[in-house]
Amino acid sequence: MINYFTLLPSLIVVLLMSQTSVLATKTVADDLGESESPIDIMGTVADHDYFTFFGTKLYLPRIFLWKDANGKTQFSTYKSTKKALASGEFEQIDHVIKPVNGSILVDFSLTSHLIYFWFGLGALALYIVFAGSRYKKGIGTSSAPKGALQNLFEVFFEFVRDEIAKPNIEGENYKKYLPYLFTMFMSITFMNVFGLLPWAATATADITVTAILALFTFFITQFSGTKDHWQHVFWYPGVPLGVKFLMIPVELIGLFTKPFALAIRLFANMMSGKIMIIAILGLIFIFNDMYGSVAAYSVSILSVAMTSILYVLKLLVALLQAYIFTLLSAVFIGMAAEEHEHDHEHYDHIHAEQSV
Amino acid sequence: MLYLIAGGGLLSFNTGFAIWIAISLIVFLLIMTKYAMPPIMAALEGRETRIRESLEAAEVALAKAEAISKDNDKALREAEQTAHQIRKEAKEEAERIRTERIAKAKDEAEKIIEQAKFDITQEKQSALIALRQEVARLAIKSASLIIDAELDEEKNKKLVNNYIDDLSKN
Amino acid sequence: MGLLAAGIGAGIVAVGAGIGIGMIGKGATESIARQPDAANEIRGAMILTAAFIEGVALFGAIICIILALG
Repeated sequence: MINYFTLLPSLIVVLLMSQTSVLATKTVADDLGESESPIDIMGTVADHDYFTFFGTKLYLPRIFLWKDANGKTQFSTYKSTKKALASGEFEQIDHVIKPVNGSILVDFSLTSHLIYFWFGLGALALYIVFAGSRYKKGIGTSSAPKGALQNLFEVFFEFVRDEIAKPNIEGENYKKYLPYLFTMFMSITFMNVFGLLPWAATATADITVTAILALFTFFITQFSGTKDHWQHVFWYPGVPLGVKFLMIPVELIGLFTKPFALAIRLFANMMSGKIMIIAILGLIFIFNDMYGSVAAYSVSILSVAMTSILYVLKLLVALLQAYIFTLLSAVFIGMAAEEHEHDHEHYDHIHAEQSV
Repeated sequence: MLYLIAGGGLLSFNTGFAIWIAISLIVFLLIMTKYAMPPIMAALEGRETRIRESLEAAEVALAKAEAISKDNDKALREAEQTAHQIRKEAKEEAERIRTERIAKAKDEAEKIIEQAKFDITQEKQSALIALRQEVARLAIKSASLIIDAELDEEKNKKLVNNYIDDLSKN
Repeated sequence: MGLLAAGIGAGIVAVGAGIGIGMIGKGATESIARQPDAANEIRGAMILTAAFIEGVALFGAIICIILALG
């Protein structure tokens, strides 16, 4: 344990150093461009057509489904943005790529967020394969689980099963949803933690990713909805007739706000953490620009200290947001899959008494 | 804004990207639910049930062992009790025999002493009688030697006897 | 104007969420103090409720970001 604790500060220092180097290169790049600000906050959280892998930029292929000038739908792939521009069919205006003639229907380009999304899933897949092979060999089934990785796997698995799935989804039903919940928890955790790496992009700091994740929860919730669930939506039990009609839009809106809130919560949390770190570290460069290097050095002490604290906080938030997303998914699914006919009789009974 | 690099802004929903995400997530979830998770879930559940079962079995075995040891204790206590009883009885028997013996020996000794006393008095009596007769005879003899035939023997004997009686009375 | 509105809005959002989460924390710590045995359940409920409030606050924050960027 002591080893890990002594490792942590040095890890943070390494992360910070590489973070500042990333920012520094960005500063140079932006000085060349038209941007006035010495740091590019939004550029670090936005999606890119490249991803940085150990300091080298790897450009990703661009795939477009577009309409040309004649109104014909075309599907074209290019190795990178540069190749797309070189082909002469596309042009770049304000960083947005557009066909010279015509318009883009769907932009299927691979982006850094997509790559890190796949990294998250891939890391989880590797972990699952590792754990599965361990269990197949009998380690963990007939003997005690061995090693930190397998024990950590069990900690996560049993946490999702006993803290998230079991208390919120009634009966043995939870087994049906456990793979989904566990996949969500682990992949979001991996994506969030990958986002802590300074050169990496946070896939969950992208509204599209979180929206799709929330959409999955939404569909699973609706497809596992029992008769009671739909009755609650369209014919709320235990209230007078007029209120029943009033409740329909309320409940319908509620159906959609729940996953919407899920998506926004995860996205905003992950993005705000990233923006905060970049802004605080960016103070160094802003001070350097405005007041010279001495001010920058003195500010850097404060900035680096604050960022170290923020990094620990972000690690916590990374796990907490994965937990909250999974927990709320489980709660929604559990609410929809619940069969509480007993309660209904109770409500109806009370209602009947009141109306008499 | 100028941050629409990959076709999507910070807050805009990017359809192509979303399709990628959805497809990869669907494939991944299918693989997870169909192939990856069930064996792991089954393995962990099996282990848990086995542990629970072995715990229960251990509890049953423990209860059994406790019952057996209780039985053993009971038997031991009973055995101890019988042993104690037997020892007590033996002791009492021994005591009884000892007192009996002592009493018998005392009786015998008393009897012997009585007999001895009796014998002694008997002997003493006979000795006294013999002594008296001897004394009488000697007296008569000496008297007859002295007086010779002047006195008849009957009268003399009577005289001497009276005298001796007087003597013995004194 | 947009930036000003975004700043004021973000401030109000922070105040509201702060009060709400503070009240949750107060309630949770009080009930944990009263009933330490139920600490785990209370903590779970606290996180859930705080997450809901945070969600509302983040809606506001997102609107502020849209105002600021647009």
